[in-house]
Amino acid sequence: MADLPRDATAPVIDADAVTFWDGIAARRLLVPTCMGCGTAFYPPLPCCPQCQSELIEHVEAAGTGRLYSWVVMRRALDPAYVERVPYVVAAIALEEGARLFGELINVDVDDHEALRADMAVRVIFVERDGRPIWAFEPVTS
Amino acid sequence: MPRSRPRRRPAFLGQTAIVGVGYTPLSKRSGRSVLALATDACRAAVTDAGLTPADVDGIASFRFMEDSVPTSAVATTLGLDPANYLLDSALGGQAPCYLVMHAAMAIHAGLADTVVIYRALNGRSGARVGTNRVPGPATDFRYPVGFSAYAQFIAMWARRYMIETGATHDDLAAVAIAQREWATLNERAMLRAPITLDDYYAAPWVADPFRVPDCTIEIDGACAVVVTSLERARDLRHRPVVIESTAYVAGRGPGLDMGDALLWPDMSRNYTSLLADDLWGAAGIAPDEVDIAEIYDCFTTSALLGIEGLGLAPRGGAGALVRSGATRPGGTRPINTNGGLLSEGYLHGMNTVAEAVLQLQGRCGERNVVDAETCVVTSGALTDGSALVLARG
Repeated sequence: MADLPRDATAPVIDADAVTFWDGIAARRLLVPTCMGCGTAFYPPLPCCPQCQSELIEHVEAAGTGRLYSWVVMRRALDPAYVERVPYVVAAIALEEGARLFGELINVDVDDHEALRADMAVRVIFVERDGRPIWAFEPVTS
Repeated sequence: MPRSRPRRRPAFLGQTAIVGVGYTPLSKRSGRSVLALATDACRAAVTDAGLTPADVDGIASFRFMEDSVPTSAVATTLGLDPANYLLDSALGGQAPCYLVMHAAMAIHAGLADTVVIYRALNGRSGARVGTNRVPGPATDFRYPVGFSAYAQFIAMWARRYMIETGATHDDLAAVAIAQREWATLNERAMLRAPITLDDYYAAPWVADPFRVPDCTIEIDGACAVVVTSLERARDLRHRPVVIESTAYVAGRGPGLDMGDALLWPDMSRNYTSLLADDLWGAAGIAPDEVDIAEIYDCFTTSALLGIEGLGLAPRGGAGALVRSGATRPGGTRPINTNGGLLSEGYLHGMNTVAEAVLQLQGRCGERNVVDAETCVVTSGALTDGSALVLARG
């Protein structure tokens, strides 16, 4: 595992993802979006996975989405996450149509009613290991 | 989910066979080098077939996160002179059936005569795949958010599967319990003590929805099989196990690496849904006609997705099938007859293929399915994978 960063939570950013991560540093969630066909997708790619257009722009997300799936971590499988336990990592379907993994915060992990499939969530920025990162929280009416 | 492009029937089907199986002991700490494990398993498989290393001219294997040795290393220890066919795959558990397919193609094409395929690793005492950081170009969308390990990836698919189909923890438990019952009949299995529903629910969480019994047991060890032409196979020690059908598929948007399912449209279905039509079509049998199924089961839900994807149960019906007892020893639909990866141990599906061969050769003792003539095998759990239909020759 020598090639991996010692700090597991630090993103290793390639050229396709620079704009996205610049957005995160500014606490803005950007969605790579194809200007040819409108497909929104993660992770950032050199071309649209739907129509192969290279006209990709990063559009600021509305910040709302639905809970597609989630995993509750009651113990850390990786020492990098010991301080987060217990935590929920979720797959979120953004309103724009792209899916993104992120922590789901401000939920009671032991309340089985708290997490429901397809419940509405919104993006919220948090600090993890000294860096800003996106997360999600339930939308309460 | 049928394929958009129907496949022609591959010409090599029915022309090659698996003729030998080899294992090292399975353990939590082998105390041996991976090369020693690989060499022993390959030599055992070749001997089992009634051959010697001098008869072998090809080797194929796979490794993930550099957890094994390349085929050139085993060509060196076995003294192949020369090797005409060495194939190393960076796939993980998608590889075993796929490598059997490739060996069969190479043999049919005249590029090799006899190929040994192995998986060898110190998967317990060395780097553990299940909890390690899975590398790749999409890690910046996982590591920073606390999503780094293979167990978590499959758990994410599992939750959506449960949402979409209504599957419950009782269904997951039923897989673990039924396969453990098979393992009680398998001296090689790492976990042989029967478990109950209470045991399942009392076990600690790994990555909710998974508890410990939902997860494969990581081990040190190696397993190998030998493939050769059917013509040659007929003169060897054991009854040939004929490669009647095979398929590999990566669905649209398979991802940048093993943890990247962001573009995958439906995490409640895996690759098995996409290759089933090709697989059964070329085999010339229907799912309800196959005698045994050996389904890749790194986690309980991987088995459920595979059962449904192959059409062995209707959508959302895999849990009911397993709870009915049909998949247990003595049942009408035997599945994962060695206890699976869940109970025999995690040789990344190479042992799933090996069990199919041993069953069809009638070498599984009290757990052998009576008069089994056909077996379906799968390799892989997520966006891509491979499968075989094998038949007693």
